[in-house]
Amino acid sequence: MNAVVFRRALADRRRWLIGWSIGITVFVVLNIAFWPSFRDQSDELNDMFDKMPESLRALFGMGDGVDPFSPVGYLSSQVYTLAMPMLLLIAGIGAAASMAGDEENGLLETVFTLPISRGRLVLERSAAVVVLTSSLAAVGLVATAVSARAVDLDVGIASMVWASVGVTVLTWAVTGLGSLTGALTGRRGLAITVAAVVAVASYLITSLADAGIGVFETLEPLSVFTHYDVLATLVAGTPPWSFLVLFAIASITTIAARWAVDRRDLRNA
Amino acid sequence: MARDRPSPYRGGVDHDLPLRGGPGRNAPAIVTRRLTKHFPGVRGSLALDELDLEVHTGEVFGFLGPNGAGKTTTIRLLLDLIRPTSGSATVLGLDPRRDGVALRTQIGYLPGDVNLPPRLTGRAYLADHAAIRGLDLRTATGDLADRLGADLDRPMGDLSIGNRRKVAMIAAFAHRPRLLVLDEPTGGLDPLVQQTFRSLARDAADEGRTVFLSSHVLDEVQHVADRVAVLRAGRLVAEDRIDALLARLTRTFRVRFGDTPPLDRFSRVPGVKSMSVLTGGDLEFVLDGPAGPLLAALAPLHPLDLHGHEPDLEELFLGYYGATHVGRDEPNATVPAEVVVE
Repeated sequence: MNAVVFRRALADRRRWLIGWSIGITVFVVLNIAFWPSFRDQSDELNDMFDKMPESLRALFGMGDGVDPFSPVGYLSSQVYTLAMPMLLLIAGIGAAASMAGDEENGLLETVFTLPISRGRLVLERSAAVVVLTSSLAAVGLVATAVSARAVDLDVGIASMVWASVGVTVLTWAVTGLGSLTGALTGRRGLAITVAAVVAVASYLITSLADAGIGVFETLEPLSVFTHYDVLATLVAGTPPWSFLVLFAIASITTIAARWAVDRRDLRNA
Repeated sequence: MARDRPSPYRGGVDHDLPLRGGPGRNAPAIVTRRLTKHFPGVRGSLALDELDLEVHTGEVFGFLGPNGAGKTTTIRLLLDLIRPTSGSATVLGLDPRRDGVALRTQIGYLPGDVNLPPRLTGRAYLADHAAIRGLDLRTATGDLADRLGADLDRPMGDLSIGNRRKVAMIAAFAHRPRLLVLDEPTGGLDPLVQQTFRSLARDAADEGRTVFLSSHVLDEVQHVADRVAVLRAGRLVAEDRIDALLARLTRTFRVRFGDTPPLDRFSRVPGVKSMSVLTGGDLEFVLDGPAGPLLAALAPLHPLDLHGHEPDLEELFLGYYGATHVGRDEPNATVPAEVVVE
C-alpha cells in the first residue's frame, strides 16, 4: 500500500509517540503503585467517601454502588475517568490539528499540488491520528494491566481492554471534531480550542449530571463523556452500546472534514 | 522518464502522451476566460479581474507584475489551490477542479514562498514526492540534483533559502511535467544556479513542455521567455512577445561629464523621451528607442562615465502605455519629453 501521506504522518510523530508512551506509562505505573497502601485501609476510606456529598463523589467518577477504593473503583477514579482520557485527548488533539498547522505554515501548498485528492489527504492524516492514539491507548492498557497485576489490583483483563477501547473511541470522537474544525477553517489554534472546549465541557456536563444537577442532566446526551461511561464498562467487563455513538461521531466528523477541505480555498501561509 | 512504479494516487491520464505532434499539438496549455477572484472581507479584495489569458503549448510564458498584482492568485487558481469567484480556467485541456488529480500528475509547481518540512531532508521529501507520483527517486532526481548542486542530506530547516529552492525546483522538474508553473523561481539563487535554471526552463520548452514563469523582475523572465503578459492590480495590461515588449521599453542612462553640457543639445536626439539634471551634475536620459543616436550625440562631449540601470516594471508599463493603450481604464501614461531640473 502506497499510503505516502499516512506513512509520513506516522514517521513525523515517532518522537511524539515515544514521549507520550513514556509519559502515559509513568503516569499509570505511579498511580497504580499506590494501590496497596489504599487497599489496606479501603474500608475506612470507603466509609469516609460515602459521607461526601453526591456531587463531589460524582466528580471522582463514582456512581451508585461502586466503592472508590474497591479495585474497579480505584482503577476508574485513578486512571480511566480523567487522567487517561486527558492524556490521550491532549496528545490526540495536537495530532489532529497538525494538518491545519501545516496549512498555516504553508506546508500544504505543495502537497495540494501533488496528484492526490484533498479528501484522500484528510483520510490518510486522520488514519494516522487513529493509529497514533490507538497505539498510546494500547501502551496505557499494557502499563495498566502489568502494574495492576504487580500490585494485585484485581480487575479483569476484559474490563481493562474495554475501558481502553472506550478511551480510544472517546479520543477519536474529539480529535474528529478537531480535524473537522481544522478542515473547515485551516486554523490550528481554532481546531485545538474547539476540541478542547468540547472535551472539558463534556467532562463537566457528565460529572454534574451524575451529581443530579437538573440542567446538566438535560445536556447529558450531548457530552462525549456520557457515552464513554467507563465505570460501567469496568464493572461489567463488556462495552456499552454508547461506544458506537463515539465511533459514529468520529466517522461522521472525518467524512465531513474530507468534504469541508475540498470546498474552500487553501489559506495563504 | 522513470515511470516504473504504479502509484495509487495517479489519475487516469496517459502521462506519456507525445509532447509534440499528434492531436492537440497546437492546443493552448492554459486558457483563462474572464477569470476573477474576489477575497471577501479584504479591503481592495478584487485580486484578479476578468483575466483572459492564453499560454501556448511549448512556450516559456513570462507572467510579470509588481508584488500584489495577482500573479500568485492566478497560479493558485490554475492549480486549484483556490477557486475562482467567476470565470474559468482550462489547464492542459482539463478543469483544475474537476480533473484536479489527473491534471496535477502533469504539472510541476515551484512556489514563490518555499515552505518545506524543516525536519525532513531533501532526499526524504523528494522520495515522498516520487512515491506519490510513482517515480523512481534516483532516476528522477539524480541529474537535477547534480546540475543544481543541491544538498539533499541535511534537514531542510538548516538550508538557506536558495538551497531550499533547489530542492523545490527538483520536485517541480523531476517528473518531467508537461506544464511547469514557477512562481518567482530564482529568488535567493546565486547567478550560476540562475543560469542553470534558465537552461532547465529552456530545455523543457524545447522538448515541447510549457513553462509558466511568474516574476516581478523583468530580468528573471526576459532571457528565457518567448511571450510575456503584464498584470497590474489584478488586470492584464499587456501581452506580447518579449522582444516586442523590450523594444518598447524605456531605459534610463546616467551620464557624468567633466563639464555638464547644456540640456538643449539633446532635445532633438531621436529616442530621448525625457532628461534631467541630477544633483552633482549628472544627466539622466530616458530613452525609448535605439541607443545609437544618443551615444553619437554624447561621444564628442567626452563623458567620464555612463551607466544604464535595469528597467523596473513600472518603466515597462510606462513604456508600454506610451506605445499602446491596453489598460481598460488606465489613462495614457506617456511621459512627456520634458526637461526636469532637480
